[in-house]
Amino acid sequence: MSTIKIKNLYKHFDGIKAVDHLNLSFESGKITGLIGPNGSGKSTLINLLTGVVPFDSGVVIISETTKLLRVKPYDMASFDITRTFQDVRLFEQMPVIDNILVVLTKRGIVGSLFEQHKKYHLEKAKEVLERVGLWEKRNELAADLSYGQRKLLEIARALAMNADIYFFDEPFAGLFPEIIKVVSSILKELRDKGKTVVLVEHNMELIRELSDYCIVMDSGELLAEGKPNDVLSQKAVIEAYLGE
Amino acid sequence: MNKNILLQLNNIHVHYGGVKALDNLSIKINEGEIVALMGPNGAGKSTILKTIFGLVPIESGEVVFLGNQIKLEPYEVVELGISFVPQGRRVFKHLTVLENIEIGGHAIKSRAVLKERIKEVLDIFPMLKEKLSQKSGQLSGGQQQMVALARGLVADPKLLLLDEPSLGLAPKVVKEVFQKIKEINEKRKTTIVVVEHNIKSLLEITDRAYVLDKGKIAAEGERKEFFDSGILKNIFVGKI
Amino acid sequence: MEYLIHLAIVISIYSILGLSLNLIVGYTGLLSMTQAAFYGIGAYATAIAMTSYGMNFFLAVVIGILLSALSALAIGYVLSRFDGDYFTLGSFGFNVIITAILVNWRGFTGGATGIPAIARPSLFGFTFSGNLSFLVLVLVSAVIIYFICQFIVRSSFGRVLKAIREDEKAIQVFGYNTKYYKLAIFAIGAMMASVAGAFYASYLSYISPAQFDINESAFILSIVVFGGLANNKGAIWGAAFLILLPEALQFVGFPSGIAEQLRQVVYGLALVFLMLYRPQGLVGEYKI
Repeated sequence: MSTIKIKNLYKHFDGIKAVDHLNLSFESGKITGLIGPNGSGKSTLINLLTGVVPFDSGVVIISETTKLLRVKPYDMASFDITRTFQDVRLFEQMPVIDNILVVLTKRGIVGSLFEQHKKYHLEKAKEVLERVGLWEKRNELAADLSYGQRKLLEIARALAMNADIYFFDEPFAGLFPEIIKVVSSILKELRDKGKTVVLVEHNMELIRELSDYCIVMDSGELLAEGKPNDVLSQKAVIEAYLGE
Repeated sequence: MNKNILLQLNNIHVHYGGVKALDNLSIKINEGEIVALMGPNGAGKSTILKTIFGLVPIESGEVVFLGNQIKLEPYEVVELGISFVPQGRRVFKHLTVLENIEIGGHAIKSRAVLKERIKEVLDIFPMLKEKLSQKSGQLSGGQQQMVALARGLVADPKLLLLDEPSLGLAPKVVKEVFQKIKEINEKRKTTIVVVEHNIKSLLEITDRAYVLDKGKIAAEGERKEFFDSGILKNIFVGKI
Repeated sequence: MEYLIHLAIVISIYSILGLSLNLIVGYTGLLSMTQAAFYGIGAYATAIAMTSYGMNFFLAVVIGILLSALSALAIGYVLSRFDGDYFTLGSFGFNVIITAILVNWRGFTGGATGIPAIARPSLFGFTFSGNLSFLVLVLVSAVIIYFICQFIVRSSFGRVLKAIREDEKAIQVFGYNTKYYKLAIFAIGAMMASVAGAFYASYLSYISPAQFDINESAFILSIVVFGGLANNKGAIWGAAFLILLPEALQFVGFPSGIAEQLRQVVYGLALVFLMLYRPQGLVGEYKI
C-alpha cells in the first residue's frame, strides 16, 4: 500500500510562504487528521500533492520508491492519488452518473473514443453511487442536487478512482448527522482496507473520533504531530488553533 | 417583556430549485434577538434568508419589516438596513480584502464613520489586518469566510442574516466569531438571524431557535427549552 | 422549386458548419471565433486544387481536410496557452490573420478578387452539375457528419469534453491531459468545417477572402448558440432558422426603399428576443 512522504516541500505565492520547507509523511492503513488555523497551508499542501498547483522545490516520495521533483497535474492520478475539493467541484451540467463515469473511463484520446468496457464501468459506477445513496439520482444534473448530495457525489467520485491515497478536504463541512455517518463509515472502510487517508477538518469531535494520527500545520510549517488526544491538548496547538 | 417585532414572515410559500422550499411558513423575529434556524440539509433554512433578502421570488405570503410589507430588490433591502452574508465564502476574488470590506459599507455616507466601522470589524478579525492589500482570491478558504463576515458586519445593519458563518473556520476562530456576534448584538442592538450546523456553539448565544424540516417549522423554542428537552438530542441523532 | 433546392443546399452547408463548431463551443466550452478560417481553408484548398492543378473534387476535399487539420493543430497549440476570454480574442486574431493571408498571397490565392470558375464535383464520369444532384451529395455528407458528431459526443471521449467545459482543472486532477483533448476536438471541428468550405466553393463556383472573415465566424457561432449549445440536432435547427429567417422576410411586404434595412432590424430583434426568453437556444442543453 502507498505511503506519501514529503521532504523540504516549499511553495510560495506572491512572497507568502504557503508551505515552508515542510517535512512529513502520511502512512497507509491510517486516517491522518490534517488540522490547523485558517491559512496554515492545509489546502495548499493538498493542492501540491494532487497536482493542482506545482511546487517550487522539495521532494515528494510515494511508496518509498517513486521520487517526484516536478509534477504535472494530470500525473498525480497515475500515482493512485485522489481527492475531494473543499469548494465542491463537480461537473455541474452533467448527470450524476456521468460525473462518476468520466473518472472511470479510459484516459487516452483514441481509447476513450472507442471505449470498450462500458458494462464494467457502469457496474463500478453503480457500486460507488449506491455506497453514497445517490444511485436513484443518477440521471439528475449535478447542479440540481442538494448541498449534502453534492458533497456525497464528490466523495463517490474519489471512491471511483480506486486510489491508494485519498485526500479529503473538509468533507463534513455543512453536513447534517445522517450524512456525516455515511461519510465517516466510508473513511473508516478505506482505512480498514489499508488505504492512506488524509482528512482536513475543523470539527474536532470528528477529528478525535476518526483520526489515528494528527498533524497540525501553522503558517506553512509543522506545528505538532502525534495521537489526536496528545496533540489537541498541547499548549501551542490550543493557542494557535483551538482557543479556550 | 414588551419586545418590538422587527421582522415577520407570514404564510410564505416559495418554490425554489424545482421543489417547494417553504410551505406556509411563518416566523417572527423580535428586535435585539439572536434567532437560530436549524434543521437537516435541504430543510429550507437558507431559503428563508434568501427570501428575506429578496433573492428568491415569493409565491404567496408577505415579508413585513418594521411594520411595512417589503417586496424589494436586494440592493433596496440593503438600504433598509438588512445585511446578508451568504453561505460559502462569497467574496470578490479580484478585489483586495480592504476593498471587499469597504464595499460592505457602501451605504455609509461619512468616510469617517466608515473608517471607524472598518477598524471595529478588523478588531473582530485581527488576522485580516495584515492582509488588507492582498487579493481575496489568494486567501485560504477560512480566511475568505472571515472577509465575507467582515463585509457583512461593516454596515452596522439593523438586521444581520448569517448563513453558516462557521463553515470552514478553525475552532478557535469559530469561538471568537460567535463571541463577537454576541458582542455586536449587545453593544449595537443588532438583530441577528443565523443558520448554522454548529449547534453547540450557536445555542450558547441564541435567544430563540426554529427547527425546520421540509420547508415547515418542526419546532420552536427559547434556548432553555432546547437544552432541556429531547429536541436537541433528536437533532443530533437526525430524527427530525 | 429551384429556389427550395438552393435553400436546402445552403442549409446543409451551414448545418455542417454548425455541427463542427458545436463540438468545440457547445461540448468543450471553447468559445472559438475562428471557425470561418477553417471553412475558408477548405474552400480555398478545393478551389486551388481544382482550378490550378486540375484535381478531382473529392481529392481536393481530402487535401483541404489535411490542411485545416494541420492549421488547427498549430493554431490550437498557440491558443492552448490562453484561458476563457483570452482564448476567444486569440482565435479572433487568427481569423484575421488567415483572411489577411488569403488577401495578400495574390500569386497563390488570387488575392482580394478571389478564385472564379470552380467546377462542380465529378465522380466516375458523372458530374454533379444539376442542383438536385449536388443537394443529394451535400445532404449525404451532412448526414454522415451528423452521425460522426453523435458518435463522438456519446463516447467516453465526448464525456471528457463536457467535463473540460465544466471544470478543466478538476478533470485534470483525475488524470486527464486536457490539452490533447482540446487540440483533438479543435482539429476535428476544423476538418468538418473545411468539408463545408469545399462544397461551398464548388456550389458558388467563385470564392473570395471576404466570405471567410470574422463576420462569418460570428454567424456560425450564432447558429450554434441559437440552435442550442451541446445539441447536435440544435446545430441543424439553428442553421435552418438563421438561413430561412432572412429569406422569409423577403416575402413580407416592406416598402421597397427601406426593405433591406427593415429586414435586418427584424432579424436582429428576433435574435435578441430569443436570447432574452430562451438563452439555451431552441433545443440546447447548456446555457452560456
